Amino acid sequence: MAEAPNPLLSAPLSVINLGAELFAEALRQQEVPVVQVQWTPPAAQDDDLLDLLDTLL
Amino acid sequence: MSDLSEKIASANAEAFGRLRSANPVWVDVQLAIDCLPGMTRETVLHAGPPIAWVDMCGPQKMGVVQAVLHEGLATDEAEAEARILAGEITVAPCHDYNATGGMAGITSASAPIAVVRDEVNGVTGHSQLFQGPASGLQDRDLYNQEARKRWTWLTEVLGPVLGAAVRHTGGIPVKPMIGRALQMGDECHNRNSGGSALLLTQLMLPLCETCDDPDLLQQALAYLIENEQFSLVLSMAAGKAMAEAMKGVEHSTIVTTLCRNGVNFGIKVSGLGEQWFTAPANRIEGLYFSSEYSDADAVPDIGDSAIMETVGLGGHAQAAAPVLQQFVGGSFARACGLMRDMGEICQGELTEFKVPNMDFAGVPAGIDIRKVVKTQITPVIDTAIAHRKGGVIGAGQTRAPLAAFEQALRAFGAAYAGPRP
Repeated sequence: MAEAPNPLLSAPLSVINLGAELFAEALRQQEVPVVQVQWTPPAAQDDDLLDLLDTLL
Repeated sequence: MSDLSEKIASANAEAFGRLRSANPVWVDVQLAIDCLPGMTRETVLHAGPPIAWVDMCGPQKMGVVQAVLHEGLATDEAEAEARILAGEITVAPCHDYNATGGMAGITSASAPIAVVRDEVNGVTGHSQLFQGPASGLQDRDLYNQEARKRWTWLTEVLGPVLGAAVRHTGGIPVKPMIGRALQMGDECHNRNSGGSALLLTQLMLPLCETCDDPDLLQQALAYLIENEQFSLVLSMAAGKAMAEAMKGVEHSTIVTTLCRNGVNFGIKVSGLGEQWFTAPANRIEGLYFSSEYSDADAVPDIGDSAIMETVGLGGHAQAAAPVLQQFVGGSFARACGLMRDMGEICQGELTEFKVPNMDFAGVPAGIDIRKVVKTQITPVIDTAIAHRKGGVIGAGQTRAPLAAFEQALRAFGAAYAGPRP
């Protein structure tokens, strides 16, 4: 039985890219509209510093 | 809000208020020995946090030796190195002498210094004039010869000629120059074309009215015309005065110094006085002026020019200078995004420094170490790239290392929050 065609491949794409801008740029070069969101994964937190911040903020 | 956090909020408002009220005015050009507090004939100052001569990066280490020779404190390099190693020459940060130095920051007794005075807060900031060949002289001996020739010219010609003209004006306020330069496409760290043009215009008549020797006048004007970055000297001296005004506010978590020596990045914090917090300096992402250069030629982040970011300019104002984005393969949207990020870690906006491209928003200023550690967003620094053998070979951007802010926060906690369980 034939699978239904994936609509992502037939409809115009709307893309939101999180983080590494390289992926957004690659799509822009293919004339795909992209909304870029600047984001980096949070670094590992130091518990002592977090406790200190609770006191100071 | 706890009692302590209320004290911090009040202290930070006080420090930021001093930044706002500051009125730095360029009043003179004097020799370092005559204007820097504590300067001696046997002292050589450098950019960045304290570092032993043996641990310095190439251009800074070489610069200290050349300064010792230039001041007549030794007859050859071997003797100069021996005197430095014996501790007979004081080697110290510019910042600890109320001064700033671009790139390696080498400043010795006879160096001419721009003096910027803020009468509102009763503080003075200083900066050496730019020195040394720009680039393209990677032959070490030739570079050193050219550098010392330039130092002598700055001392004997430019310093006296410029000093007389500046005194004749009665003083040139620096904040209005910076404010107008931001409207002319400068972010006042890597791009200073607008500011330098403004200064040239302001200095032209005073130079003509005070310099009787047409040859010296021509030399001074040629220097100002050819050096598009000249206004950075005044911006740095003014930035230093503004940062000095913020210093020493008990309980304040606002940063008063950001600087680098090519090995380490150093910061100071208002409520922690003159204590340094350091972490390894980052590499610079940018473009080289020639294809002959690569990362292998470059020194990590170096210079006291990050005083500009300390007071909300440079990387903090980069949307004002979209043209600089080409150095980092960026975009105007990226510049605006980074400027908003800087807003996340700062006390407030300096509304006298408006960025037209951001709907005339003020630049984000007053970096708060608590916000840096909480958000993990570190200050963006626009900067030039130095060659390992001397000279400027590119420009780009880098980040202040988070570890320096974490250290400072721990020290702040120890000083103000008492022992922790």
